[in-house]
Amino acid sequence: MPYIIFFFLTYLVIGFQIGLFPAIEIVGGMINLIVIILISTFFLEIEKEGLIFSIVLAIAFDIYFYLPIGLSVVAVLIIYALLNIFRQKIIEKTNYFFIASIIFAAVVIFDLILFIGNSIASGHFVFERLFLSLLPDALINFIIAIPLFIIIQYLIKILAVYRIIDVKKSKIKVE
Amino acid sequence: MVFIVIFALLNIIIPDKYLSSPLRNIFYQIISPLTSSLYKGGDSTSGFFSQISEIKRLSDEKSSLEKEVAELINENSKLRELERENEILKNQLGLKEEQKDLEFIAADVIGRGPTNISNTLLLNKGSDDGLADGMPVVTGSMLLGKLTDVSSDHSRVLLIVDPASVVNVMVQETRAAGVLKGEAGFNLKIESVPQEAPLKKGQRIITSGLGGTLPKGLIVGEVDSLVSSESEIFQSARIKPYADFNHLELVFIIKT
Repeated sequence: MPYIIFFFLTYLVIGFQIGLFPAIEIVGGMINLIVIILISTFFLEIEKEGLIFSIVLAIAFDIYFYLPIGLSVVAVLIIYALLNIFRQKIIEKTNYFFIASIIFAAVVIFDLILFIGNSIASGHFVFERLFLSLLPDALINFIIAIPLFIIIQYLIKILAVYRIIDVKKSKIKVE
Repeated sequence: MVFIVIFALLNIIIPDKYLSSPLRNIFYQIISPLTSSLYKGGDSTSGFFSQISEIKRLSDEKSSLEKEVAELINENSKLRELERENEILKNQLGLKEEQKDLEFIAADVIGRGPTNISNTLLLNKGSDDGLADGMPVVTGSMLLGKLTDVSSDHSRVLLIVDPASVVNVMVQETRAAGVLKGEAGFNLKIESVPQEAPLKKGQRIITSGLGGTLPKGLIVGEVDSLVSSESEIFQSARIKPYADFNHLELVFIIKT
């Protein structure tokens, strides 16, 4: 049963990321669930589950949008490595605004890696495209970060109640 | 993690058609029922919001269009006469209308690529339906783009507004040839147009048929503003596309 629910949830999240969000881009900015889930689960201290979920989502993203398979995974791993490097500083000051700011920065890194990788693979370096989409992308994710963080927090609680995932008591208090 | 690294390495070594392509086919079959319905839902939602902001602009446009309609009705009757005359002359010359030979395949738009990566559309038809790489995709008689990746049951369209897109075009009025290139932000630009045929705002741009990949006469858009100066060897201008690339549901592929 837990696996069925987990599979259904993954299917739904992939559907949202690759089906719905590209269709509702706001001034060129797209909601990035890969980054939001990775960061949110890092702050909620279920980072391993979050990392796996983000990687699955990243692979689906690459396959669906004809990107070099593994490119988004590289972006996810780099963001995760950076989070680990600055772990101590991040844990010290945690509030909603800070989480949103981290998501803003992570989206910039994610977009840059995707731009470089995709440009090398396709042979077209269109910097204009990067300049036009980078800020809207980061801003839209900054705005949506907190509502989504709260939804993810709530979902994790439900999943933990039904013992679908094992959650340690989080040391971080988000205010 | 090890599996991902192995897969990424295999992906580089093994040709696309043996690994990535079959994988994409399986993935699309599993995910497309959900993504296509979510895409359509999202597309109509974003369409609703943009419609609200356009109400004022539309009411202004309505009054000018009514005037234009009256003029066009008059012009249409004259053109009908000319068309009839043209038909008779063509028959006498033994010429065929190129458009009549074209075969169209309808396809549903089931998704789109994020604009920070590429301006692409995903269609629910593939090589099983007779599609192949390079085929033009239209809506009405307006060119949208070309097929770039065709799998058995789905395909991807590179829109003409993508910076990677290059199309041979000409100015309908003067027949001056040029090259149409996409620009970031859903823009179009015509380049390499000789100075002998000056570009003017409102001139219609159509495909020239050069290169053989696209049929002649597909409508692209109209000249919006000149970019080059008179001292340059060639002219270039921004083009206002006729097609609405943001809200597409059904498109047609021309079998070439």
